[in-house]
Amino acid sequence: MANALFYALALTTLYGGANVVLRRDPLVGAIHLALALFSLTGIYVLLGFPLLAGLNLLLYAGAVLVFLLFVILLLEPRERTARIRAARARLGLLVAIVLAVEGVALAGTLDGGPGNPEFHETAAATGTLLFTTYLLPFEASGLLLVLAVVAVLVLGGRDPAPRATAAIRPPAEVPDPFQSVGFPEGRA
Amino acid sequence: MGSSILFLLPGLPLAGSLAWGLVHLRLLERRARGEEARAPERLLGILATLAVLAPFAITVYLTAQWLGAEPGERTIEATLGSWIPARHVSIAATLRFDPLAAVLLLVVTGVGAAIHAYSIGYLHGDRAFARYFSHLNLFVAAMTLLVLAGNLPLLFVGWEGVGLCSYLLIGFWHEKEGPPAAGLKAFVVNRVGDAGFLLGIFLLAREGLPLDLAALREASGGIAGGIAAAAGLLLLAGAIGKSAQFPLQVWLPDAMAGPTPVSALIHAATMVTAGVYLVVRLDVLFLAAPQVLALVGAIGGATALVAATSALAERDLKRALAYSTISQLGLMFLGAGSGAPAAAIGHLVTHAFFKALLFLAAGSVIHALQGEQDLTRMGGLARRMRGTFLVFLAGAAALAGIPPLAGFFSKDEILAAAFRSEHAIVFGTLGLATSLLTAAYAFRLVLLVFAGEPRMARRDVHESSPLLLVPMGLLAILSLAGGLLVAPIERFLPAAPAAAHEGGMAHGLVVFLATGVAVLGVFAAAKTWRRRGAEREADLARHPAWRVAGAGWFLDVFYQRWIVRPARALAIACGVFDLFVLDGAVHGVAKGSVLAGGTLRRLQDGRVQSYAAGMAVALALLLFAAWSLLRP
Amino acid sequence: MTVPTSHVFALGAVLFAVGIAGFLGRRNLLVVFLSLELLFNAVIVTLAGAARHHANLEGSAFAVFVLFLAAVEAAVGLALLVALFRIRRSVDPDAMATLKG
Repeated sequence: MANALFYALALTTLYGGANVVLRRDPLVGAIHLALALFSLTGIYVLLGFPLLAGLNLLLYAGAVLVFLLFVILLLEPRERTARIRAARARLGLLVAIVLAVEGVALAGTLDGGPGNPEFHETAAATGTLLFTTYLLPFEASGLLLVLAVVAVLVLGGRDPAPRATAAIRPPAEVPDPFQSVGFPEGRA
Repeated sequence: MGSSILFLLPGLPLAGSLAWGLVHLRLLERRARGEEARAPERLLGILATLAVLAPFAITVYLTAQWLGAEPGERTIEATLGSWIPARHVSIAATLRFDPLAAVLLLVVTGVGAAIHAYSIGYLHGDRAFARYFSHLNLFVAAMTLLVLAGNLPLLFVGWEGVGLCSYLLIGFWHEKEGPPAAGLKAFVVNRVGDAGFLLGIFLLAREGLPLDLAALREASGGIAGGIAAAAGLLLLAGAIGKSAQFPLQVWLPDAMAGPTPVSALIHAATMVTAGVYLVVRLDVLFLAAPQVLALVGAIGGATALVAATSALAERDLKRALAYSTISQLGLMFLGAGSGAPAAAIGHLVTHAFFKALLFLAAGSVIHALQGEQDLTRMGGLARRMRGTFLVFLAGAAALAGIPPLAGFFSKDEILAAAFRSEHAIVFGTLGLATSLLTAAYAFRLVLLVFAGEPRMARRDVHESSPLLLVPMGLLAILSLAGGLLVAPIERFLPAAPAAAHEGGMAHGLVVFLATGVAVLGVFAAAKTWRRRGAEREADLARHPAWRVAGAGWFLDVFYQRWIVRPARALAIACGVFDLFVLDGAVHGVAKGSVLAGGTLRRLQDGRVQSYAAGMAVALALLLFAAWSLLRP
Repeated sequence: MTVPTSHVFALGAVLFAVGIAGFLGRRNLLVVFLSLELLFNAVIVTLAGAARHHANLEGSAFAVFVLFLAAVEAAVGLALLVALFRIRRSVDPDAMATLKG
């Protein structure tokens, strides 16, 4: 039963992915990506990785996909040329087919068993791992996330309009912010 | 004064050469800045002459000291130290002054000084006055070194030095077309001989024989015949090149493109005699190889005769004298080859006197005629240029061997030796035939230049200045009376160890024949050219034999066709090869790199997706590799 | 669930191939981005399958890290895209080929 579900979800994943690549409107593509992500979440659960599934849903489908949707809606871009007829699209298709064939063939070299079907991942176990053995990478990725936020802010921020600043006149007298407060180290 | 005084002999002219060279450079600088700059002619000329006269005085002094000494004590040696201290062949910088060297030095410095003085007048007004005297002094220095050298390598240095100066001085007027080519020709032909010379030195060194001349002389008795012959042959090649004997004589007539005093000094009196000097110096070596010695005589005799015919047929005054020089040098070789090196030296001395004189007088005539050198366009100068006429006549008579002039005595010695030698008939006949022709062409010159009606365009010909006449007069006196020197010189020089055998023709008979032949030649010339010389010349020129002789028996043509042209073609081929193949390869590499770069550049189109495509293809290849490794 | 691991890997491979097709072939940067997300997910699936196959918890930890990185990449990449769009007024990747040559 679970096996059948796996294959079904696999199909929906592939259907979603194919539409991402094939549809002209990126908005439609994004929705299909959501479909693919949800299907994958299910697959993770079936494989026995609840934490991964949860994180996928929260982070990926929740944050990243939403961000993507925002940008798509903001920019409203239009693709000007036809999709399949372009030479590069054919090249991409060709390469993809080759890769798919090779990947499947490579996958087929495995012994064919399910490995460890009883294997389960738990949030606690993974969490322990993340906070003990792999603490450094974990903290580092946290730092990376902070950097990403800063980067996005810098990249996305708008330059102040020159007229706006010109209109603001500085006050005649700058109040001393430390005068009223008795900080010992306020003034030299 | 110690033996190091010897170093002044080449040293003074060398210093002079450097000095005048610097003067000339300075003049060039000033001219480049636009100033009008001339050399201080009187001063420079006198100093340059003194730079040669001083060594002459020193030589006289040193020689005089010997007159009371024993023959064995007549050597002064001075060494500057080890020049090439190689392990197997150590060569020192040794100068050796012995009677042979003394005789030659007297000629070189004495006649040289006279010619320096003459040059002051001849080169008057020339813009390269300083350069001329620099070269001329350098020549005297090199020639002195050559004569004084104590070993073969050092001699070779002097040898090359005179060759260099010959090149520089022949091509002195390098703005003109002829001189540079002639200078190059002289140098290249000499080079052929020099190659032989060097190989000879190498052979001697390889055989472990000493390169020091005195030591070599002593060791010569014990050298195996084959080695001696080979070495002798190779060194003879050098002598042939330098002294313009067959087959390397083609450069001397062309060398007349240089100033006439240069022709007088270098190509009559001194440099060309270096070959004779070499053969005489190594007489013992040649005696160890009798066939080579015979070859020396044969080449000398044959060259003498052939050159004499060319002198007879030549229309250019200086070229005729050049052929005459070749011929007389041939006689000197003939003498050496007959086993009488002292006779050869004797003739070297007298020839220096009268040939230099003839050249200087020719220079005087050419100068007066403003550059005319064609004999058929001269004539009737006896009245207008009395002095020159008289000295020229003296020189010609000496050349012809008219007794009791200098040439007679020295030539007589050679003829006597020829008739006493092993190949008496051949050598003797060659010698006599040459003497006949010599007398003929000598007086032909006199008659064509000075007798008859004037044939030149200009009518305002006048005698040359005393500055030119005095040196000529000195040489004339020597030509007339120099015969007295011949016998003492011969006694002075060390006798050849194996003198030519006695017997052969009696000396008196030789004298008779020689005189007869000379007189005969003079008469024949007088009959032919005394009146209407130009028409005679024209008539004779139609004779094919005359034309062959006049063209130097086409040796020059032969060389041009079979050696010069192929060499030039080869040079051009190499040039083309270098330009297209070698340079092409280098350029090709560069162009190839640019081409490759340009092609590769097209991969960089700035598009992310192209780069990603490349990565994807690589990934595909990797996956394929993994699969082929992992499949069961 | 006894699906053979090779099938899981096959899914990952095909998903990856699909992502490549979009990444290389589309002329709209946003669609390229979406394809990029597909690629990431293909990797995560493969990692999960491998972790199950070897009963290895580290595999899932790695997958979590990949997820983080995907998020970071999406954020920064989209910010860049927006900034680029402001300048170029286009989402055509060929319009951003100034590093050509």
